[in-house]
Amino acid sequence: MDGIRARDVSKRFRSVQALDGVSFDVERGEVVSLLGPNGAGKSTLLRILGTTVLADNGTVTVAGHDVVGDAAGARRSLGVMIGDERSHYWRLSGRRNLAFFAALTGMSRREAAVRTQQLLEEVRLAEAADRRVGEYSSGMRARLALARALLADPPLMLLDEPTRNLDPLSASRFRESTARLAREGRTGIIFATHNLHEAVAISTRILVLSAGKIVLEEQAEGMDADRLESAFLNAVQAQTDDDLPSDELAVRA
Amino acid sequence: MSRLRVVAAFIRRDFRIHTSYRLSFVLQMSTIFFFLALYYFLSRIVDQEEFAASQDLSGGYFEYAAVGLAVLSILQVGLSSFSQKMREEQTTGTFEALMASPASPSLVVLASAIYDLLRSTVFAFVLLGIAMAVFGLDLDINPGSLGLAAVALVGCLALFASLGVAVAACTVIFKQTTALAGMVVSGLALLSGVYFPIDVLPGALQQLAEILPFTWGLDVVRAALLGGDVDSAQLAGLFGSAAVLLPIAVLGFTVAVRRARQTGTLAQY
Repeated sequence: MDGIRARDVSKRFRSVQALDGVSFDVERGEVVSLLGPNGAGKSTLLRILGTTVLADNGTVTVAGHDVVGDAAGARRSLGVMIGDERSHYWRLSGRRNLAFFAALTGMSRREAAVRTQQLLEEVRLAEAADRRVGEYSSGMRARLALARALLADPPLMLLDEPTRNLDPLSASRFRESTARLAREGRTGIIFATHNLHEAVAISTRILVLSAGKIVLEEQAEGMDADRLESAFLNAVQAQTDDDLPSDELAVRA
Repeated sequence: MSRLRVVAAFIRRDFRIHTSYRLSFVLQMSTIFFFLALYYFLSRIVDQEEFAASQDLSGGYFEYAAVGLAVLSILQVGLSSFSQKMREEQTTGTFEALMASPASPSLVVLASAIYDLLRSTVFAFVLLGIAMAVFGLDLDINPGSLGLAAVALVGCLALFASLGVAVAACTVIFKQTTALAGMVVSGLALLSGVYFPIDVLPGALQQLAEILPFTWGLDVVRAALLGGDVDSAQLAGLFGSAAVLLPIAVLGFTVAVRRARQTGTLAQY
């Protein structure tokens, strides 16, 4: 009941088949990377799991809650890190940002204050807690977004390309922090990325998404690196072909 | 309880963000002053006694316009703040974070405009205070009249909120609705007797004005503050229309959010 169950999920936006019959499970303690190029359907899939987009077909449950029939229950079981570093109130301090979102999870002011302080310490922002977010670096904003996703201590988390604005060192530290959460069994994580090396570094399992379909599922342990790289490169190539005008494809052929 | 917590959190958030822009308060006060000055001098060309007698009110045209401006300022905010706040969240990038929270989307949008509505109500009283202190506005102030005006204002706020939520529902679907909100505000200002009595309108428009709940609200507030006779049927009509329109608007907003989830455009702007 803790995990995510997606069965035969499809979504079409006008002429674009964003997802086509996607099925997978994620359990607490896992870090599952959704690996694919831009436009492969990663963000659409995360938004369906996060209840902000409705699937055309298929079913999804999050910790036993159907994302359509019980969207609020599903959201209560999810920590979501979607969107970029602008997803904070820049005129407010990090502490006040967290306290605000804590109230949206139903916490009292006292509970929110305690939880906020715990998380600020955990993501190494305690010293900067009372500075405006506008004064934070990109890395600090990413850590604040992680703290926000952790507010309700969710059994599952959705992270959509969380390291895209970070320098390599900050990205590495961020990955280590998130992987630790899963190793400790606090949460299960879906980590969307278009970076093959990042997926390999953080995951217990990798799902390669290409043109809305899962084309490969690999356990990190005993992973066939060549097969993974080949699937990913094919996905990138397929997406690049989709992005090109048809006359250019004809020339290439 | 947790809904109240959510509303309180939005009010605290918006108060802190608003007060972080210190110059805006000074600018708003200046705007109020200039508007009042404009209508004060305009009232000099109107025969005060004849105007007061024609409206069965104790004050002249300045009193009439000042109360109209105070209520209109709340209408403007009530009508635009729901959609404006939502659009601000979309453009600043915080909308998806809000939609991903356990709070329901309808509660989020309703709560996000509460601070602006409260602020506009306070500003309406500030406007009347400045009009009294600087321009000699003569209001009929006693506990009974203030109580009636306050009751009518609550009805007006509920009515404006229903219109505002309806505009927000349009914003979810059509994204850009600033022009729609502007059109509704100016249309209501024209038809409801904010700046001039509706008796001067042509027959058909006058009939339309008489069935608008905004006209009833404005009439009741004016009558309470300017020594006129409050029409209890208008007051009941104001609350009745708000009681019908607000749930319809919230339902419309819920339908709009569902449609935006289907089309994947909820966070787009």
